[in-house]
Amino acid sequence: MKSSVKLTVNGLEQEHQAEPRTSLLTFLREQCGLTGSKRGCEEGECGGCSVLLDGELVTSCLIFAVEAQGAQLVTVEGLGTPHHLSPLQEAFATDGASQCGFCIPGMLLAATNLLERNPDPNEQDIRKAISGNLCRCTGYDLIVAAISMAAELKKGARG
Amino acid sequence: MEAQDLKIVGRSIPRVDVTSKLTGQALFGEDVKLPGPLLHGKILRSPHPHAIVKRIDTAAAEKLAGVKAVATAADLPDVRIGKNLKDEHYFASDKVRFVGDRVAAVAAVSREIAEEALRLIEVEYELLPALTNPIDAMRPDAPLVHPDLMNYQVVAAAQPEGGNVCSLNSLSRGDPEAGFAEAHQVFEQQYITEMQHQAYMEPHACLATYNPDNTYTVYTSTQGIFGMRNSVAEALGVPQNRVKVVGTEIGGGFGGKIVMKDEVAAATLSRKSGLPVRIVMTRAEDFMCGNPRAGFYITIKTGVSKDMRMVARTMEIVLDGGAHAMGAALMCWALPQFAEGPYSIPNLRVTSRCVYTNKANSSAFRAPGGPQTNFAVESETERIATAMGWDALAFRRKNLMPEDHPNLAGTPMRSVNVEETLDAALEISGYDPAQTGLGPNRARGLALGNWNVGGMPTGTVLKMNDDGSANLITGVVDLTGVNTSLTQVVAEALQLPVEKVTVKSLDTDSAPHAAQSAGSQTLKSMGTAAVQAAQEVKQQLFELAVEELDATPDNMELAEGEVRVQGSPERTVAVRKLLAKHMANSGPVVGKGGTGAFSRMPSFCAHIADVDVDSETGRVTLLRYCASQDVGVAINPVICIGQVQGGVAQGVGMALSEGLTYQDGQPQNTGFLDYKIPSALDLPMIETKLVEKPAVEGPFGAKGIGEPPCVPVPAAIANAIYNAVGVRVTSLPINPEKLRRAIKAKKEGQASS
Repeated sequence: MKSSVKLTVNGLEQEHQAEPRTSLLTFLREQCGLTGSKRGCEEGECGGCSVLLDGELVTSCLIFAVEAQGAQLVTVEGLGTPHHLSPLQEAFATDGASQCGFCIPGMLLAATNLLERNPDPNEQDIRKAISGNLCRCTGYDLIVAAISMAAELKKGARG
Repeated sequence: MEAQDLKIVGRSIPRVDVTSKLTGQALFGEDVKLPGPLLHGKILRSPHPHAIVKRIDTAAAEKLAGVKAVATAADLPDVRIGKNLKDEHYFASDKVRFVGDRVAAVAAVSREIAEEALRLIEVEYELLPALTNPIDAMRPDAPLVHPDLMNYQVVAAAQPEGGNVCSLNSLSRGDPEAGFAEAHQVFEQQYITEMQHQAYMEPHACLATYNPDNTYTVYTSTQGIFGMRNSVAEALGVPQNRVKVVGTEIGGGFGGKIVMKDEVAAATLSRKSGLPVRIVMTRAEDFMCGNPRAGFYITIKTGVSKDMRMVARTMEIVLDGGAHAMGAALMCWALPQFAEGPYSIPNLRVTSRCVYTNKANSSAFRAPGGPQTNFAVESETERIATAMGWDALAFRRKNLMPEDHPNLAGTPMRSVNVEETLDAALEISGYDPAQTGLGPNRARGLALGNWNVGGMPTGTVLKMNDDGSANLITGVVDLTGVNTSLTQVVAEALQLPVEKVTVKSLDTDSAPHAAQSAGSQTLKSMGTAAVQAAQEVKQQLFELAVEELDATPDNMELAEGEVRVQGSPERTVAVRKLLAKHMANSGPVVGKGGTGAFSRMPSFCAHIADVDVDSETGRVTLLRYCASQDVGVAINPVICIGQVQGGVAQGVGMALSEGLTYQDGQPQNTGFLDYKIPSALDLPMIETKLVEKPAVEGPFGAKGIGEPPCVPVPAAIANAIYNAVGVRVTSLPINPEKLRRAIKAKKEGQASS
């Protein structure tokens, strides 16, 4: 029943056995030991499990692990390290964008994806980009502000 | 209170937990890892809203390959549990009382096998008629959810009346009937709200182990580890010292993670299987088995004088309590503070009944009882002003609560900053009472809110390290950034940089008893205790420095890691040196602090919502939202702003889209597809103004901040809708379907008249 699934997560190759019904989210959390991606609803509604799969933003609870065979994945653990946060993570920290933090991994990936596609987003672009990521703590303002600030920082860095 | 010279309090330092949360390292309920194998637990929950359990047969489930343990009521002591009224068996033994009531539990090597095993458990039910509405439940011929109610043990607050009324509370002052008789006009209206789920992003999750020394360790996502520990120990029938509860990071609570859930099932399955057991609710289970905000049926009656005074009010409230009393019964007791609102009404009576129904157990949700009652109070303020031809703002100002106003329990309210708070909202929004319209079908609405913040018994320990840095040990759950604020409080009190203060939330074995993180009192209680602990530490350090400084302790001060003689900056000794010199003789420097309960003191807020109503579809769009809040002193302003904005967002959900619906006792919306909480596209920027005026109690004059901002939102939006389209909706949520119908009815009424 189980088959071998080999993929690259945050630049590291991972190979584990997975049942056909195992979701990519469960594979990441239980086989790869990466619990940053969150199980909030398992029906693609909350966005807590968002990851980048070959550059596309996906909800990993709705994808089977076997479908990701050979894929390049980025999860929250791949965005920055505690000693070297990404500019987006820095902006979230400075702006107080994280409260309970449960939605934050998904938010960060949705925002990373947005800034890759659109380096100069306006408020509505940002709201649209994170509209698939529910947050119950913040009312979104400080998250929107942080993403906006990260875009500014990146622009500044590009000069 | 005197102006304070504060260095660290009042700064928006980043949260101390932020890096772990931004890098995916924070361990939430489901993320806890232990060495060795782990079992997955699943709960068999009742599919029926009301039934007698005649027989449970678990034999087939136990035989399934991969199943390691099955638990039922037979595995626990035959005791009824409950914090206010002992009305619940942990596993249903005689009856099930709502869809989701716990019947049995299974632990297996995988979730799938556990789910398969649930299907093999045979339960024979005898169905009973279900109650989905508390008004029906109060009819004399209604079936009884708890036929033995009057024999149940009352623990606190609940006052069973009989029938399905598990608590009846009434408080009054003056003579409301006489007040109505003398009033110039009397207004009466009914308001209805639905059950609202906390919808925290992290579903309930726990992991339990039964240990070789006959103790249990329970890791769980909870707002209060000590309350949880006591509940688990009670249900397991063991002394509290034999249960250790470790609070994990918590993915939102809002009152929904106070009551024990599947922890005892996990602990029992671990005892029976010999392995750790993890139980994680699915989102559907969480919607079904959570503790939502109670639905209210409110009848509000207000008498006003010719000169715009509120002279009398009665409020009769029927709460949809759900299947067990839990927090809803306690809420009855807390409701009087809201009936009066931020006003002063001489003749006042509040009567509330908490009524059993065959639905999820209602309990606390951010400002329990606040938004429901405020929806009635502040809708009435505007309705009365409109009917009387008064300026609603002037009407409010005339009746605002003064300083030292006694609440219904007789306690004088202190630090009443309601007028300043109202003015702040008017200023940021540019609100003009004569011009609430913003164009066709567009208008603004105002509502004031209040929430009285108490305090719960709590203790803490502050340890000075050899190098002069300090660790604060608490048993409080860091739900809203409290460990960050406590870091600032301790740093300020000891005059240390924040880098030299660490605040950690430890487990029930390691920390002194702490309040739960709820009721907006966490920082007030724990911060007060921390300031006390810091005072003890200072006192000990000053006594150690008597010899070195040749001065008395009352002439000393702490600054920059040194003890100094006041007024003689050259006479100093480094704390580090004092500790090194005296450790051998005097032992370590450790301070402890603790507080009992505080009486409840008010925090206020004022909100202004700008809406656009699509009169064809009934859809409401928020154009702008302004919120001011009376915070006393903002220990960390960004955290305060985040609390205000988040509270507003939850209020918007309650106002416009959220409500748990049931059909014949069956829950209808148990996922985010059907239960819509606001997304980033549903909200405007929430313009926030913190009103700072140090309060008479609380660390450095800080007030509680978490609950108030969700209180006035439904009323502010309902008032804006009225100002936009002339329709007063008196039930929540004001979803497009309801508003469209109301607009249509108004048009038809106008056409026919």
